[in-house]
Amino acid sequence: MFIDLAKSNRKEMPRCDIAVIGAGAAGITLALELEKSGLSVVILEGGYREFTELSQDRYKGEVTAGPGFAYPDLDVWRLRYFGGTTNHWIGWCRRLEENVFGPRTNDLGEGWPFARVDLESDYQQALEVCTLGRDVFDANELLNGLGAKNLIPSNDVLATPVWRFPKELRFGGYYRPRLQDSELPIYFGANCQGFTFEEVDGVISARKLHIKNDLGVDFELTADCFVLACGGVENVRQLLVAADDVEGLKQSDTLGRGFLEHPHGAVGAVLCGDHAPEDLVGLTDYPLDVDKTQFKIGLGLNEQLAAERGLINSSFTLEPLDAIPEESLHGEALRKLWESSRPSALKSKSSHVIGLYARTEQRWNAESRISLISAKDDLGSKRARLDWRVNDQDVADIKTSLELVAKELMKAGFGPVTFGDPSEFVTMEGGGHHLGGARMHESPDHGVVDANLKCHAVDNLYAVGGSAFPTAGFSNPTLTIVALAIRLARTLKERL
Amino acid sequence: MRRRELFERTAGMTGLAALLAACGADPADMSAPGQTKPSNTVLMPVAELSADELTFAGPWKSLIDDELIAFGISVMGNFPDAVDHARDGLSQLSEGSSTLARDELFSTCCRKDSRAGDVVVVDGWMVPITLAGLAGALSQFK
Repeated sequence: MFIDLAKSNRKEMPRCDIAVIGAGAAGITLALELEKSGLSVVILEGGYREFTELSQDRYKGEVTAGPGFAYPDLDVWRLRYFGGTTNHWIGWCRRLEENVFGPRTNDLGEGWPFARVDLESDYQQALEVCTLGRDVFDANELLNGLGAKNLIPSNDVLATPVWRFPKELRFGGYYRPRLQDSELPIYFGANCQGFTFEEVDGVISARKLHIKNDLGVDFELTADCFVLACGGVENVRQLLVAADDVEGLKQSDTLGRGFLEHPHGAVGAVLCGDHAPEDLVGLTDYPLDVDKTQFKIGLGLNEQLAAERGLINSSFTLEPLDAIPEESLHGEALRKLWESSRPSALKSKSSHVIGLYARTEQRWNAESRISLISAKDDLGSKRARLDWRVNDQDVADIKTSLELVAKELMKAGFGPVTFGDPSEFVTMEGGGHHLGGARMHESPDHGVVDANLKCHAVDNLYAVGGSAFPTAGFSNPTLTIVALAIRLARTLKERL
Repeated sequence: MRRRELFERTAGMTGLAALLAACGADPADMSAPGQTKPSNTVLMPVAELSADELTFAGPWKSLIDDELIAFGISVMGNFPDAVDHARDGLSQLSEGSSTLARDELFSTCCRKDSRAGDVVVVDGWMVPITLAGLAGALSQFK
């Protein structure tokens, strides 16, 4: 059931068991999971069914990034309407790498408060929610299904991570008919302004949520539990606002700190040797598998090797290029020399160029953070500032991993690999993945939320989504965010 | 920190090994298992090759241009031994051999290098050592 708060004249909204703030991937998953639970659940979406400039403007903020890195404004990658950022999601899906859950070696962090196997049943359900079809993430199996050969098989150095792409990308569009017909109320134009907290016997709880509609009219909502499910920046912004009233949210000094992204960038190119781009099924294209879902095979380091060498997890995907990148020195001479090294039957394909695109992990960095600034939106809420920082060691690890992968490519029959001008490393960007600003940890001394995604400092306030990731690997986060939402739905059902 | 400084600081084993090589140390001592041979950034004095030492590269002289010379000079500054490797592999070409035979021999040598992991990184390119050595030799023709 969809309700436009701008048209509501009841300033005191009906009390509910659970109020979920946000209707993106996490919020919609919670709605689907809690719909028939017997609990009274309300979903609050700041935007509407469709994009509006007015709502989107409230996502504006300030952004800075460290040297060699670039990041767009905060309202570019996030979308503030029903379906959230899935409204422009491309759909890359895979489980987080197993080693990301920890414990990690060297300075890669403790990992998560539970193992990946503990999230497995939730991942299975998440595959369904994300319309991913069969649970097949094995390159050989996918290629066998198409009668194609894996020309770059994994070994003790190289891994071949697989991404799959949903049949339906837009959570808002796909789940709209079901949720519109549901008894579960979804309020649009419900802009959360903060909580009223109360303390009983030393336990702090959120009692009321303050909401404004787009006309600036105030509403209040009372619930047994509140769930922040509004994205990796907005969850943190809401918690930072709450921290003015709840000292405990600042206890670990991790709230807002340790913002993680997945550094992305074009880091090199490889000349084809024995293989032309069209031979590299799944590596240079996005084929449909037998289930009619697209997949993509990448290249990465074997997890054990990465762990032994204390490297962050890195992956590299291949995309055909028209020419050797301009920043590569001596490109044309090397191409000619390489072509002359190929038998005549292979000459035509030997100098095709394939770009190498990095998608990597980053280490925790306290200076990589989300904070509040004095500038406010039209409703009077403080805007967010993001300062994305990546450690020098992460850049060194990407280069080391790239060289190891390049060597394996050449062993597999590819030609020379260029990493560009050696006096400059590429400018890297993020992947639009806002992670880690309200990290999960068993101890309130080291994290904001516990393993059940409940704030350590507030007994009935939860934060689900990328903000909870203590470490992020290189895998795109949406499937894991959906799995965490499913896990949280179970937790809430047990609690209430 | 500027990106150039970041690169230099984070060149890790690769840059450090090249620096050590410039100081006369053996870069192989720095190489962990699976580590690619060291890169460029510091050039050693280039030893000139005699005409006899260049003979094997003659069939590829038509490929010489300024870019190739620049790459070859970098090879000579960092991996002068690559020329010996290339000569060992490519000298089997008999006088008057066809272009086809030339290309097939070069192909075989490069493929063998790549499969064995015998590659070097020069001026941002990872190449088979035979290819590097040939470029080094070609840069020496007057």
